[in-house]
Amino acid sequence: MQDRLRIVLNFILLIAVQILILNNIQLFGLINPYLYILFIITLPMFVSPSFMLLIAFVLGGIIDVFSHSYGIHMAATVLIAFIRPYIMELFASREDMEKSAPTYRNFGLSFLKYASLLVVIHHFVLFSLEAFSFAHFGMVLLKTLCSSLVTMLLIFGIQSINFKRR
Amino acid sequence: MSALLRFFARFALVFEFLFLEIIAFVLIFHANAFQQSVIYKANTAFVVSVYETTSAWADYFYLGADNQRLAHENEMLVNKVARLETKLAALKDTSLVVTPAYRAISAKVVYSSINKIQNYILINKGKDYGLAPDMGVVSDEGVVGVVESVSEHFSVVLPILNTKLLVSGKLKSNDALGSVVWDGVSSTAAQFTEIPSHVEVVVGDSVVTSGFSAIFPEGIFIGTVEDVDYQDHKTFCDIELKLATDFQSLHYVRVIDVSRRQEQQQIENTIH
Repeated sequence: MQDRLRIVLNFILLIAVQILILNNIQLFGLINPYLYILFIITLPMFVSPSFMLLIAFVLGGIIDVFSHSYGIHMAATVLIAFIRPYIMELFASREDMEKSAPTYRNFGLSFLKYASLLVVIHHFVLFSLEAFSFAHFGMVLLKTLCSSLVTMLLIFGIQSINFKRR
Repeated sequence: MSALLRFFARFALVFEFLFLEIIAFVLIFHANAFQQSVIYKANTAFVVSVYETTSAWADYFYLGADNQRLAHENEMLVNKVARLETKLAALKDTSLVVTPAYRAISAKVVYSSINKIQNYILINKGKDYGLAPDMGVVSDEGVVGVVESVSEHFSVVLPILNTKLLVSGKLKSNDALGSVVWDGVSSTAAQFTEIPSHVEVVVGDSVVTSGFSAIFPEGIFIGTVEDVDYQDHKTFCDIELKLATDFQSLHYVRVIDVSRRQEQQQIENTIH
């Protein structure tokens, strides 16, 4: 029960941080961290894949509403929720998969690879949909690179704080 | 049997995934239709209330800079009033009824983005203050954008920082006409296009509104020429503008209601 409560609090906190702080960060027109996907990345294993898709849909929808974009966060977030198990299989060992949740504490170094790949995929899909044409392709790649880097730094920062605390 | 069930379970997930993605893409493709919908209007009101609360907190951080700007503007206006009053006194005898060419409505920015390719600004005045689509929006520094849609109490502004917007402008020194467009890269720069290569463009020259479109009055500052690129085989030269408005710290704007806009647009439509 306590676990579930913590997940719900996490959900609200990440959305608040995203829309109230990170959405206002606009460095050089290139850096746009989207930390909220940390919620999907670290969602515990007991959540079924089908329910995870629904959570991703709602999460993306909420971010969309607050960013005045229509469906782009939804599409990108649902996609990473869907491919999450496959990406996890790619990097995590069999013992890792038995653990309660994919976090730095549980997975160690393979968490960094797993999280980075999901972040890059999410950001690339997001910025492509936002630009909505291939005319801006170079710009999309550059934004993906810069923003993913910042998002990843934030994720690793948060994860290493959690790691030390326990 | 269990293998079969697992097979279906797997496919159910794929279907669920595709179904959710389709909803998302329908939203993306019908963004404009969605903006008209009731559900959008209801949740916009909620979103706006959240942003208004947080921007009310953020306002405190900008008080210093905003005060300074207001004081500066005040000073300018007082001087202007003084000048105009003396003019008025002189004109009083030959009284003619003159309607002012435009009226300005000041509004506060509740939401703005500058890092996307299609950026938007949301301001806190709407139909209730007589705002309508196609009205120009300016800041103390220069042109901001054009009102795209209005609701009862709010309006969406397309800033220059949106690849969809095109503002007609002219070079201050020689009145050459062109269009200001944005390439989606920097939030401080835009491009001034449609200037023929034979026109001499000087770096540092100002680009101001042309006043032809009835959206902006003539002569509002848009930006300064930062770089000119003449290419032999091209009919037009590439001009890089440094935008006058600092979109990153935009808190207050004025909406310009050109009184004869509708009349002008109607008669323009009869030409085509």
